Amino acid sequence: MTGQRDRQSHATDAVAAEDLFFRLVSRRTFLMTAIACVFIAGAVIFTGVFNYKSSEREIIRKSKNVDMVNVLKAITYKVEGMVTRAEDASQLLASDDSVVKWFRGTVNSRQVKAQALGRLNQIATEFRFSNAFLAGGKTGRYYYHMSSDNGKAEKSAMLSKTETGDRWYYEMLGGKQRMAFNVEYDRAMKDTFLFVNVLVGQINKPIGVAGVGMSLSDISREFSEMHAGISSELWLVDEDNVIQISQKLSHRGFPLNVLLPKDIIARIHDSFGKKPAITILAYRKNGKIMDLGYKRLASTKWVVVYQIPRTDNISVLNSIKTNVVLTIIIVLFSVVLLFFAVSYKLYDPYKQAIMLTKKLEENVRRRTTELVEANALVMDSIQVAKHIQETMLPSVEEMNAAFPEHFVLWMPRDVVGGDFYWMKTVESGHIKVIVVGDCTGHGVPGALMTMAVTAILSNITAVMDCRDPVTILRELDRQMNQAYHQNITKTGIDNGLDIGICCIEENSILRFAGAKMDLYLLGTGVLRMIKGYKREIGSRSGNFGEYGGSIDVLLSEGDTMILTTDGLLHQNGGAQDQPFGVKHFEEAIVRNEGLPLSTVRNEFVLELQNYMGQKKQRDDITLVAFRMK
Amino acid sequence: MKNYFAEETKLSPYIELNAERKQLIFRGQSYPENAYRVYEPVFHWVDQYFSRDIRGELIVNFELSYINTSSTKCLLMLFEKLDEAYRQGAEIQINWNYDEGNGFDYEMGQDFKEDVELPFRFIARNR
Repeated sequence: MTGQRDRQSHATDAVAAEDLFFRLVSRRTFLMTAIACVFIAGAVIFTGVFNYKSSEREIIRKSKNVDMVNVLKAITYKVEGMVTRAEDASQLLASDDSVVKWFRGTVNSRQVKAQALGRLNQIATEFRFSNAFLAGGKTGRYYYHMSSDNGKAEKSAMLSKTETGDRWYYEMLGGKQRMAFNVEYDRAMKDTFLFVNVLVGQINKPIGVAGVGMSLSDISREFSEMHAGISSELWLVDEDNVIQISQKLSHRGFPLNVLLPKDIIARIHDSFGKKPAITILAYRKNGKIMDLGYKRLASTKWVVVYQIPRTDNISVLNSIKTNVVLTIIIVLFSVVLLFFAVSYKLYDPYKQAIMLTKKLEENVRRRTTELVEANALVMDSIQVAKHIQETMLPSVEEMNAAFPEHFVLWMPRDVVGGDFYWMKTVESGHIKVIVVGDCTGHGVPGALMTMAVTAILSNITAVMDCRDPVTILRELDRQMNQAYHQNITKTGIDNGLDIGICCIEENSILRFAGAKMDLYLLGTGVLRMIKGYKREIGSRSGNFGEYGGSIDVLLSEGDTMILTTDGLLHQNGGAQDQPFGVKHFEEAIVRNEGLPLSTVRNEFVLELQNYMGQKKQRDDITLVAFRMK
Repeated sequence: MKNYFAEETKLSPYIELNAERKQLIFRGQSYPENAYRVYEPVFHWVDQYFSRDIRGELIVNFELSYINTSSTKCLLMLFEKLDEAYRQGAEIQINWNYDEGNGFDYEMGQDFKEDVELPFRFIARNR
């Protein structure tokens, strides 16, 4: 028994430990996974943002200090190269002997003219200018070269002071400047050109103008090839702050103040009086930061202005930003996925709960089976005990023979009990002894007691006078104390019993003696209670000399005697959950007076059931009633 | 001296053995299978209490609606101990609280009273 209990408690401990283990592991793992995920996510976001910020700083620095300067250098180099080449070509043409001779008209003009025009074609072809011209002389005509036909045919046009398109020529002649630039639409070429004009002859007495023209479309195209960024601007600005050449043809002729803030224009204008140098600055336009650089061209009175929005300038940052954001999203997603996988797949509390429940259910099932088996074993044995106890009780036939009208209520609280009734007829039925007893305890211990008590009773009644219940009582008490009393102090178990003994002589004289049990006697409307002694049998305080003689009652026909153990009187129930009580019991007896005892039995059972309701039986209940004929 | 407490259960009463307040309380119902196990600590406690001071004061309050046979025997043992101490000069007062509608508990108290010299005070209580 002890071993079994130990085993069970070990099993319970093991389950509890397992449960605790799972709970701790799962909670710790969950927490650690969560913390790890937060750390990883934080680190990824931090490094991403940090990298982006430092890249941004570096790229902006580089774009301002290196890229802008390089772009401007390249542009000015290119433009200056173009202009220098144009200047050289124009100078060469203007100072050519044949041209000077031809325009002076001093020599055979036809031959000289052919020579001069040949030189024009030669220079235009060699320097690869789309447009070259000679204008002036006595005729005042404008001769030009067209790259499209390689100068095979002589092309000329008459210049006129009244023609606005020809004004440049007359301004040049009177301008007292060796060289000048102008941008003009060429009617013959049907294109706008940047012309480099050089005076032929002495500066005070010019005899004509020679020069080359660069197609603005070509220049713009070159600009386009140089520019970086979609929204960048590249302008050549003159002293009047007017855009002369732009990568966008539409900007040509625009005053700068339409496109740039005043202070920026002022700064650009200032550069005309200074040495050519690259200046880089930034300003805000419509909330966007614009990077702007400019440099005055050394050979001309023009300034190259290059402008690019920072967002374009650092457009590479956008791809970095996209990459960073993408990386962060991917990492976060993976981390979250990992976290969910860990927490919901491996350490899913729900799953664990189910697992644990299954385990517990299994344990419960196993133990229930064990208990059922153990219980079945015990119950089998108790059932056998019940049969034994029942055989000890008087049989129905014996009872009927002795008491033709009687009933018995024997209701052990458990299968067996400490209550019993016992009957004996002696001297051929002249003397009947009927006993109701209530041994201390219920169930098996109580039943064991009843066996002992009935055995003693059999012995006593075999050798002693059965007419006197007090003698039987005393002897029973003596033997009980002798048999059990010496062990009481050791075990603390007081093996006593309540008992009621009726001895009936010739069906007319009844003698009663009770130990903590009373006899109820109902005869012709009067209920009497014959009190037993207050002391019980086998009580350790036992001093039995005080028992007086038995009480003699003369019986009449129809008198009903009832003996009951305290089980009925003490049964709790009713609205107040109080003991059934003597008063209640007596009322029930009187109420059923005159009814056949078999009916009375049913009435009592019903009464008791109603009173108990859902309450459990508290004690063994035994009631024996008999009626004299 | 340590106080002793036992919670009320379906089968056993609330028991309080309080040395500082010099009082014992028994409240509820008493019908355990093994009454001796329930009352054994009470016996030890009472023995110890009077071994420290045989003339000690003690108020014992009972409020038991049902007492089964074996519990009755244990209470009888308790009363004998108290009676012994009382006869040696201890100041003991028994307060027997009973329910007027019950009928059982008053009778039980009267039965105990008959066996001992201890002063009993019966206190009726209406539900």
